[in-house]
Formats: sequence, structure tokens, C-alpha cells
Amino acid sequence: MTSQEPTGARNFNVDLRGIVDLLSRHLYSSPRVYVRELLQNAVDAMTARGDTVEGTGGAGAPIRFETGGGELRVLDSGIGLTEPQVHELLATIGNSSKRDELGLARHDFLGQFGIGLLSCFLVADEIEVVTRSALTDAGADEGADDARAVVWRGHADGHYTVEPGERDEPGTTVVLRARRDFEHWLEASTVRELVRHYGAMLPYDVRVDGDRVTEATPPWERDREELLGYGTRLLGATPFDAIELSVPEAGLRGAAFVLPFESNPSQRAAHRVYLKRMLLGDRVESVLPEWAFFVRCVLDAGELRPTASREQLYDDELLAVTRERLGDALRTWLVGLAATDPARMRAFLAVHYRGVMALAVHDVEMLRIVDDQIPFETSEGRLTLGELRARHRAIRYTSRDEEFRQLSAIAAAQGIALVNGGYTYHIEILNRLRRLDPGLDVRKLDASELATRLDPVGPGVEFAARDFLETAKRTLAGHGCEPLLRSFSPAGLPVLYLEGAPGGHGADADVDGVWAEFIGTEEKAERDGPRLVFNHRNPIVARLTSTANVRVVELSVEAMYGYAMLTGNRPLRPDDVAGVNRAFLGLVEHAVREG
Amino acid sequence: MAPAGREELRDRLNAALDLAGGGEDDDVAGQSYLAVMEGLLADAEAFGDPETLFGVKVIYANALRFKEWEKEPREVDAEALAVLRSCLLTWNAEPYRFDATDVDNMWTELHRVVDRYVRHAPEPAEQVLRLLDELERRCPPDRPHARYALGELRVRLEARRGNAAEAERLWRLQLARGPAREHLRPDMVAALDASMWARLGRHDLAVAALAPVLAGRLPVTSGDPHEVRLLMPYLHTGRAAEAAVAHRRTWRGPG
Repeated sequence: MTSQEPTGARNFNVDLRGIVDLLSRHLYSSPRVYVRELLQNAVDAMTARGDTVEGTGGAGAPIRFETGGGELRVLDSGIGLTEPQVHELLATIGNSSKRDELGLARHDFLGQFGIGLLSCFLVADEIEVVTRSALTDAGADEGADDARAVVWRGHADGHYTVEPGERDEPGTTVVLRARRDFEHWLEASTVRELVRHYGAMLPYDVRVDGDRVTEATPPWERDREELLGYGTRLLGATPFDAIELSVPEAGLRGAAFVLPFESNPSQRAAHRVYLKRMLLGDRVESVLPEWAFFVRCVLDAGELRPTASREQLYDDELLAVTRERLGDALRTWLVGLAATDPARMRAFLAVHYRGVMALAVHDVEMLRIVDDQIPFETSEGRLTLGELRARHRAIRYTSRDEEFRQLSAIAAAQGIALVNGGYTYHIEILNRLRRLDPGLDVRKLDASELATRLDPVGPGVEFAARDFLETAKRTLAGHGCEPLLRSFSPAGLPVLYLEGAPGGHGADADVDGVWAEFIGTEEKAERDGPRLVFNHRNPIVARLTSTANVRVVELSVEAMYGYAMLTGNRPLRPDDVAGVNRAFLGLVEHAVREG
Repeated sequence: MAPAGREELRDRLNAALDLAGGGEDDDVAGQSYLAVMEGLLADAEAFGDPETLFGVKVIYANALRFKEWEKEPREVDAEALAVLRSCLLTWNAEPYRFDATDVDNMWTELHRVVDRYVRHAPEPAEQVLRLLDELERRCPPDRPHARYALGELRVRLEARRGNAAEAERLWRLQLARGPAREHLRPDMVAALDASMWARLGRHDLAVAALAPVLAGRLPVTSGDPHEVRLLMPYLHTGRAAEAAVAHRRTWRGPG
């Protein structure tokens, strides 16, 4: 295109050396992937030859990796390339032989980006490819130029040469000579380990220095015992169970191994994924739903797309569908286990309790399992929510463990079904119980509601205690707390501190600025403010209400306030600590004087 | 009884809105509407879907106008404002997540609550002004109708303070913006403006405020004739004949 052309369009100038460097050194996370790319090209060449010239011989020969003398030679008896193809495909970055005329990746090939060979520049400065096309052999046109073998040499600085070569049979030989200080990547032990790592499941005979490294049957096609054995090697411990997985839309087969140890739900689970039986990666994320943290999978997918670096999966619609199907399979396993083998389900929950709770926050089926299987701390002992629902239609919870400890016995005595919501996910699950039981009344325990459930004292007691209450009100005013006289069980508890709580939908603690002036949580808190409830059923309190000595009442009320705060594990402000000290010393002084 | 799903909750919400009718404050229907919305809100909270919960909360705030108060109406207004505040913060955090109608409804409800603070509740004007500032801060410029509605409240708040000059300046600014059909009934705004100017003694502006309605440029949505508000302004501006015509047209004898 010249500057006179009316469109004014220009092509980008490409620094070939820079592109080669970029793709070979920065696309991949480690030089080790060069083995995978060589293996992939050889497998695709074999597949292409099987497709096009089936029965022409040679296609069944093994793919051979030969090491020695600082070189690696990879030989396949695949489709090979003609000289024009060598120019077109090996020397054009981004042009893959594995795409059709429309540029769509061929379904049965592993590679598709036309950049794989560049990864060899990670370990070598020069790549030599000796290739002879099987197509021209099959065409029986021996005299044609296309029938000759071709030698292509590519260099890391971006130039290449092509010249006639020698090869007896159709196929391709790739020769790498190690770059200085990279010799270890081409050593026999390294190559063997890497070929086994990436290609052990390939349905081809792959050999390294004559030794076969591919396995006959992938784990997901083996019997259950062998599958569990594979899982044991994968996890380093015997799996709790192995779940067979299949998603026909994605051409996916595999197995999920249920971890026999607890895993962190917030940590993203990574799985071993093969694409057409070539290892994509050991730590592939996002193939399973986030909640499926309790399994590790080994999967082989035919239809899922890899990213260009072939180290993760491309996050497209098919991956989303696959993720959903795999999630369904795991959920079905869990539901089935709960229904058919409760003892084993309990064993599973003993390990993955937290994970299932996390899942139940979003999933009704899991919520059902939690409701049915997991015991919660309640005012009536450890019960499942299902059992508690069978006894009560109204359930209350506390948001703090300490609050539960303080109120549990009182709630039990008042017939209130109280649940300790102080643990992770408990409140969320309690609030979602209406999904299972729409008529259920589940709420946070409101202090004022509890106060109304405590028996009021009779008018005679109320009258006799009026001086006591007046003194208590004066003493507690500094703590922003109101005294209340009630009669409740257990009688051993002399006082109870009830915290005020803002109510109504949308009311929350962080209302600030101008909103607070209108929403008036302070006003509400004042109305339902903190109360110190004296238990008239307690003998000490009963005697105290008829004590005439104002000083003793003041000190006792102060001491009981401190006691209530301490038993409820509530933080003591400096004023509270000073009050407790004052009360303690004052009561000691009184006792000494009286004694 | 099966647990509620998203579709079912939406259906129930629409049914509840039918129960609310045209916004008439009929006690029995209003109480049923409120009771239905309370149940619906509990189910939506249990369902946990943020979009559905947002829509239900906004309508619940609307239903709260039928809630009986213990000491004073501001208790209910405060609860409605708290609900709407939580909606507003959620919407601010993820503006494209929620249904456009639900968001429109939220601004309408916010206007309704603040309108009560402007007209009825004895909240200090400075405090209401700060609330309006906060709402404007949270209302992006791409919602001109919501901004208009807030501006309309400012005009009447200034009028309540007796600040006629500032009210007039803001009112003329509002006229230039045009009415907010999404949130307010334009004829009702004009009628409220006319009453406001009449109370402030600016009878010429009262007549001007209702002129578009009387000229038929704004559709009348209320059953009551707005013209009745102009009897005194007509007389004060020496338009006795028009006052007499308006009186004849709007006055209805018993039976």
C-alpha cells in the first residue's frame, strides 16, 4: 500500500525478533512447555495422517523423543509438510495448519494458534524441522517437487532458511540443540519426566529413548478401585469418595475425588485438566463452581477451548455450561449420600462442615441437608434445625456467642427456641430457613421481646421495691441503663443485662450523617435501650429489694451491673471498671464495719 | 407450601400493587396491602435474590404509609426512609443491576417521604435541606427527573421558611427544567405551587403556576378542580370576573 492510496490505511510494522521473543518467553509460564508443544504437533500430525491417508502405513508408528549429544530429536510418522506448506505454516506466526478455510480450529486437533513451535526458542536458538509430506506420497506423483523432503531452520532472531532434505518415510523430525545454560532441559531424565507429565494419557504410543511413557487406559476409564488408587496418588491421601463425571456437550469425562481432609472454602480449588488427553495443567481453575472446594478433579475435555498459552481454559459459554453440569453432579452426589447413607454423610460433614454451610447460604438443596443433618447449638441442646422446627414455629437467634451463653437458660425456661448464631454462616442459614418452611418465624432475639416474656412481679412486690428501683435507676443512670424488676428462671441468676436493639427493616448500625438525624436509631435505642433486669426469684435480689440501707443498695446495684457485664462477656468501659472496683471495696468496707 | 421463587415473588408483588389500587388511603385495603408486603418482604429476604429484594423493599416502603404509629407519624416515615436508604446505597453500589422501573419507584418513594418532611413533619428545615443535599449527591446527573423532583422539594422548603425570593429563583429554575413526569404528576405540582405562592402572598405567581394546567397544556390527573386554589389570587390581582367564573365552575352545592 502506498501513501497515494485514498483510504490512507497502513499496515503495522512488526519487529519479528520482538514478536518471537514476546511469544516464546512471555506467553508461557515456564520453558518446560516446549515439550508439550512438540508433543502436540506430533500428535496432530498423526491425527491428520490418520484422517487423510488411513491405511497408508506408518501412521501407527510411535512418536519418538531421542536425546543425546546436547540435542533432542522428535520423530513422528504423521502427515508431514510440503515445501509450500513449510513456507506458509512454519514461517507465519499465528497461521496454524489446524484450522479450516474459515479460520476455525479443527475439532480433532490439539493445537490451533500457530505459535506452538515458537516455545522451542525458550530452550534453543535454532529449530530444525525435516519433513516429508504423506499427501504427495499418497498422490503417487514421485517426480513432483512436493514429494521431496524439506529442511526448515528457524532462528530466534526471526529469520529462517528452507532447503531440500533427506527423509525416507513421510513424517516430521524436529531437532533442537540446547542453548548455552539450557542443556538440562534437553537431558534424557528431564524430557522423560516432561513427556510423561504432559502426554501420559495420550492415545498414542509415545517413547522416550525407546521406553514407552503413555499409559494404556486413562483413570476415568478404569474400575473403581484403580480410580481410587489414582486419587490417592493425586491427593496424597485416600479420597473420601470418587465421583464419576460426564458432560457430553463438552466432550468431558473425568472423576472428582472428595477430599478426606478439610479445605479452605475461600481458596480457589485447582484441578488437573486434560484436553483430548493432553495435560492442560495441574492447577486449572474455574472449571468447577466456586462452592465445590471439597473435591479435586481429573478431567478430560474434548470441546473446551484453551487459552493461547494452553495453561488455563477460555471462559466462554461452554465452560459456564460445563461448570453448571459438574456442579449438578456434585450436588446430586451429596443429596444422594444424605438420602441413602446418613452415617457416611455425617462422616463427610464432620470434615466438610464449614464448606457445606457456605454452600447452604446459596443453595436450597444444601440448605435442606444442613437443616436435616447439622446440629446447631440451641437453648434445648444440640439439635438440627429440622428438629427444632418440628418443636417450635418461632425461632430466635443471638448474633454473639456470649449473648447466647447468657440468655440460653432463660430462653429455655421461657419456652423460646433460641439458637446460637455466633458462628460463621449460622445467621445467614437461619434467615434462609423460610425457603424451606415459609410459615416459620425466624428473627434475631429482641431484648425488649425477651423482657416482655419474663414474668412481671406482683403489685405488692412492685410497691415494696419502689425505693430499691428508684435507687437502682439513679445508680444506673451513669451507665445509660434502666433497671427492671422481673421474676424468671433460673433462680440462680440474679441479674440479666439486655442490650437495646434498633428495629425495623433497613435499620442498621452504620446509619450515619444526616440519615441518622431522620432514621433516629438513637431515639429507638433509647426506647428499647439497655436494661438491667433484676430477678426477684433470686433470694439475694429478693432481700435486696426490701433493704432500707440506700448505700448498700447502691453498691449492690453497681456490683450486679458489673457482674452482668462480665457474665455476658461484654466489654467494660473504664467507667464500668471503676464502678465495679468502687462497689467491691464499698461492700467489703460495709461488711467489715458490720462485722 | 412451596418456597417462593423469583417469578412467584414478582407475581405476588404485582398482585400486592393491585391491592394498593390507585394510592387511595382506604384503611382496610391499605392494611391488607401492608400485611401482604410484610409477608412478601420476609420471603424476599429469605430468597436472597438482590434484584427481587430491591423491588420488594421499594414497594414495602410505599406500603408503610398505611402503618399505624405509636406516638407520631415520623416513626413510620423514619422506617420508610431507612428502607429506602438501604435501597439507595445498594443501587449506588451497583447502578446497572436493578430493574429500571424499581429504580424509578425508589426515587418516587424518596420524594414521597421527603415531601412529608417538607409539608407535615416538624423537622427543622436545615435538617431536611441536608437530607436533600445527601439525596442529590447520590442522584447522578443522568436522572434529570429525579433531580427535578428533589428540586421541587427545595422550592417548597424555601417557601416554608418564608424565603420567597429564593423560592422564586428555584421555582423559575425548575420551570426551565420542565416537569418530571416519571416521579410527579405535573398538574399536582402546579397546584401545590399555586397554593404555595398564594400563601406567600405572591398571587401573580400563583396564577402563573396553574396557567399551563388551565390552558390544557398539562393533563389533569386529580378529580378535584385545581382552579379553586386561584379564587383569592384572582381577587388580589384585580381579576374579579375570572374569580367569579372560577367560583361558579368549582363550587358545588350540597346534593
